[in-house]
Amino acid sequence: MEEGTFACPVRREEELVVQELGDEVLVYDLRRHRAHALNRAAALVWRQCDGKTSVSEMAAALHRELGIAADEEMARLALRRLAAARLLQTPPPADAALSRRDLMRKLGVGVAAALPVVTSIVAPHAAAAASVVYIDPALCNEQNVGKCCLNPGSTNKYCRYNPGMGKYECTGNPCP
Amino acid sequence: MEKLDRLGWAEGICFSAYGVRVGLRANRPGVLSALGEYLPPGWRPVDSPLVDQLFSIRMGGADGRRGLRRYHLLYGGILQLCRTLDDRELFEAIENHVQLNIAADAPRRVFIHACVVGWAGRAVVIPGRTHTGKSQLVAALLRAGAEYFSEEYAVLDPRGRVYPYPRRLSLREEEGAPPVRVAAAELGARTARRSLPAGLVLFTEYRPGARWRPRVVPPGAAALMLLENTVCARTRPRAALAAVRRLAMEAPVLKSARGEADETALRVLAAVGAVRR
Repeated sequence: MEEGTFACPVRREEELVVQELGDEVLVYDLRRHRAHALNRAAALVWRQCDGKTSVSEMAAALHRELGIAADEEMARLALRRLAAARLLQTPPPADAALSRRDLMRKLGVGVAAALPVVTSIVAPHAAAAASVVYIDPALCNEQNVGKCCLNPGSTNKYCRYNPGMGKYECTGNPCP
Repeated sequence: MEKLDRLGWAEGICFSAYGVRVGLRANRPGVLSALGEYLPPGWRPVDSPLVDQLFSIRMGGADGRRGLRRYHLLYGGILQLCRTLDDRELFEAIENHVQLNIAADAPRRVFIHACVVGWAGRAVVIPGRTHTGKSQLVAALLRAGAEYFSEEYAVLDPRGRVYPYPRRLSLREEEGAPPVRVAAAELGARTARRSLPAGLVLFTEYRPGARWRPRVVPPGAAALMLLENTVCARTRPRAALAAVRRLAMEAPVLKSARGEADETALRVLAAVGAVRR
């Protein structure tokens, strides 16, 4: 993809639920059931992704609002992270940004706290958010009675003590 | 469902809890009255031909033939949820599945898996799943004078107020032992009857020898951590997001490992009101 087609990035808006948290932003992707928290720098860049604001203008805004050097690499790092979270309509070119480490080398270690960060989770299913703790079946023992043995491809069952066999087994009732 | 309906049922009840109508039926008289303490807090019988979820209980027991016992079976709709020979295991399965349905479907509430106590006119919310030592910490908070809200859920309304879900506590006297059900009054504590605004959210986990070193969690990270414990995150994401956002913005959110429960409880209660957003 030519870099020119990414001159003015556009944020995704369809199938997203967005909540402002002061300087930060919380986004829920209805399509993928993932939630993302954008820190102040990432949120600033994302808000500017309106199809009219250039990367250099985003860098100037970061400098104005956060007091860090007006470096386009900072804006490109944010855009790469936003793209990885599928929050942009068009992903940036693959080689468009320095890594976090390279950026800190370039701008100084002091910018670490100001770096754009996008934190993501997979939204839990109802049962997973409830009182179910999952373990590897090999860990079914006295300490893990009542936990759910994960059996990919088969039915998950609770770890329980089998008095007939005299040992702990993943043979309890089905768990989520 | 027709096959289940044709089996013959001796008794049934419809009740409402947190706006969700639940139907229970059993193949033997007396089963539903034995459920008592396993029903959700605040349940009340309703006269309704329609329910949001129907649970069917087939009690087993001695078969009459020598050495044979039939399993107890629990169905949620047409799905078999539990098959056991143990009465207590069956009742606990009923309790867990009923409460999960209520937590997922309550129309005007968002349920977050958490322990909650009241202190100084504020709710202290301690999110997290089971086996992280929350119950022991709640018991210690109650012994220190806090008011009991819940060991299971923080129940939030759209205004951000936290409501009680005062199920009896499940306390393990030692690791690996089955939990014992304890009422808050047995610990000398009062049970909350009204909602409170949130005063503190604490993410913590027991680690032997851990030092109490709370750090403030930024709102975005706090909201994600709360969402990970929100029952309706996938089924009602707009309501879930609004609830965790409000909680993360309006109450201080701290994170720290913890050592012994009684010492930690005093530190937690001291933090309510001392830390501001």
